[in-house]
Amino acid sequence: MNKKPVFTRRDFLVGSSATAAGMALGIPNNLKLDSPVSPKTSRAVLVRDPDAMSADGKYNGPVLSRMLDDAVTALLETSSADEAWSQLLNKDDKLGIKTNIWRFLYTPKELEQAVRSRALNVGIPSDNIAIADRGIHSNPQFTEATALINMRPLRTHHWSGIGGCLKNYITFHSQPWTWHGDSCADLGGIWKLPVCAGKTRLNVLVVLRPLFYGIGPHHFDPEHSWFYNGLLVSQDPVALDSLGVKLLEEKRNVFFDKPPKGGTSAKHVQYAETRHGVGLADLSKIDLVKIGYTEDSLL
Amino acid sequence: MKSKHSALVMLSLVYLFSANNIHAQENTMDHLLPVIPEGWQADGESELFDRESIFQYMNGAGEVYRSYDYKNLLVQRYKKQGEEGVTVELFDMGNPADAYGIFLRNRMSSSVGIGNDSEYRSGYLVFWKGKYFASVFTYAETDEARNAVFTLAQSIADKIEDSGARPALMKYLPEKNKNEYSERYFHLYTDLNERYFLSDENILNLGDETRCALASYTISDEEVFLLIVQYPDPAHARSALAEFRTTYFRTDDETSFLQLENSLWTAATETSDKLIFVFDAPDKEEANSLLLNCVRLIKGDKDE
Repeated sequence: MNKKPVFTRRDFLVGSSATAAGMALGIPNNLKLDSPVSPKTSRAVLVRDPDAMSADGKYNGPVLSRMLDDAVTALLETSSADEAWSQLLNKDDKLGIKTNIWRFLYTPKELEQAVRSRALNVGIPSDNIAIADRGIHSNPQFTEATALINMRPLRTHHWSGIGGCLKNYITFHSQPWTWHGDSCADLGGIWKLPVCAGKTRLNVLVVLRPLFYGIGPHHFDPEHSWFYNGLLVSQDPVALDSLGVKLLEEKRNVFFDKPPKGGTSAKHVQYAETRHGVGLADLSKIDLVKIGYTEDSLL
Repeated sequence: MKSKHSALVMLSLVYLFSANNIHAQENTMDHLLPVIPEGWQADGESELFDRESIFQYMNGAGEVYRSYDYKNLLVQRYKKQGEEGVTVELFDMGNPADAYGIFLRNRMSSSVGIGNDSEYRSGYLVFWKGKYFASVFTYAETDEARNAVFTLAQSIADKIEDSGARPALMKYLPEKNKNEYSERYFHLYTDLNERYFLSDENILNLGDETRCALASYTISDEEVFLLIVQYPDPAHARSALAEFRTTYFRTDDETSFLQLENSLWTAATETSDKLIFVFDAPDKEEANSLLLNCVRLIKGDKDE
């Protein structure tokens, strides 16, 4: 019987871009995990604007709305934001906007309202637009939704490595903790549950002020977050999470004289591709388009 | 005869009342709630969360506590006009060693003199005493809120009668070159990985029955880790060492030292029911020195 390959620190030392001192969050792409991937690409857009947030942490709603419009326009390669949103949604949709309410780094209300506004513009009635994080596994506005938009901030996570697009759907299950096993390795499986499979029209990984190192009783320390002022959007949640892993790794390499030697590997991102076929984690197959300002991009 | 019967009935009633009272205290931790500082009041009822319901309170972060012998969490909020509020979280960690272990998880600074040991940082105060770990915090650190945090925390600590003790395993960590606040105590490989990533799999066979002491050292400008794992018995320790050698050293022989791909050294040895590992030593001699120093402490010799 073939023994499952064991992945150790030594494989990181050989295969990743992590420094000798630091620990990568992601599993190096050169390592074969489970089955091979299908040869295709995923498109993602990074949009940044230095005015997205103020220094005291306030969100600039109009700037965020414009950033989102610019991102979806670039993502779908349309001539206007109206056209892009019309491709994403139609008036007969029942839309669920899945956000994240983690106290320390929650989805900005301004972004939620930007999406809601676009949905109304497309012609979706107000009653058919829901915004929520918890309880969606039993909320008819989500369980009976025809369209989902997935939107949450990027951060490190003590159990899964990162909190990203894939993990944001864990509340579609009535017992989220049952997906915690093996450092949340199989979060991609949630995306194949009937309640949400095939419904996601857009993923937005909010990288306005990502958390790149978790410490403290609640895993949050403002010293280890930084103003990146960006949004990552794609129709592929795995691609966004893979980019998110890369972004946090690069920030840690820049911030720490000697990056931490520990950290939970975000293996669920690669497994989402190789075990569950939800999207692409291989960075070489992700077509990243950057718009807006590019200083200290790290990607 | 009648008076003897009455006395027996009375004694039975007293016994029953006492038994029920003790049972009530086992089911709730309210008796440990602090004296409320002047001007403050409780904000709602206290809430109690067990090993399953903790996720309702803190989502996936509950796994951190469940990786220890966590039993229950008591949460009580306090409010005062014009203040953001203060939250008390009191964790029954099952035993003093695990309360100590969860306290060490994020240790970064010196004690503030509450409980057995404590720490305060930006509105958060944590301490451990007996089998309890407490977190008392405010999201808006005003002078008033900070004072309330300290007052509440001290009151809770005063109510915990049994002090408990650090796990014995910690005294086997040599002091020379040890980095301040680097000690950790835990059971599972996921907690080891948080500090020093070893493997995605449990190659050391860690579990609820194993006890781990970890610390980092600075040797020749390199961060070196020392890990002591205590297994249920020597047979388990030997088996774990064999698997480590096969999986990590990639050899079936009795190799104890290996220079890895980054030129740093890993060392492993066993003594009775314990395995000792050194990770990322700058050279073989330093790895051996740290290993031997630890073994001497385990065998009762003086720390060098």
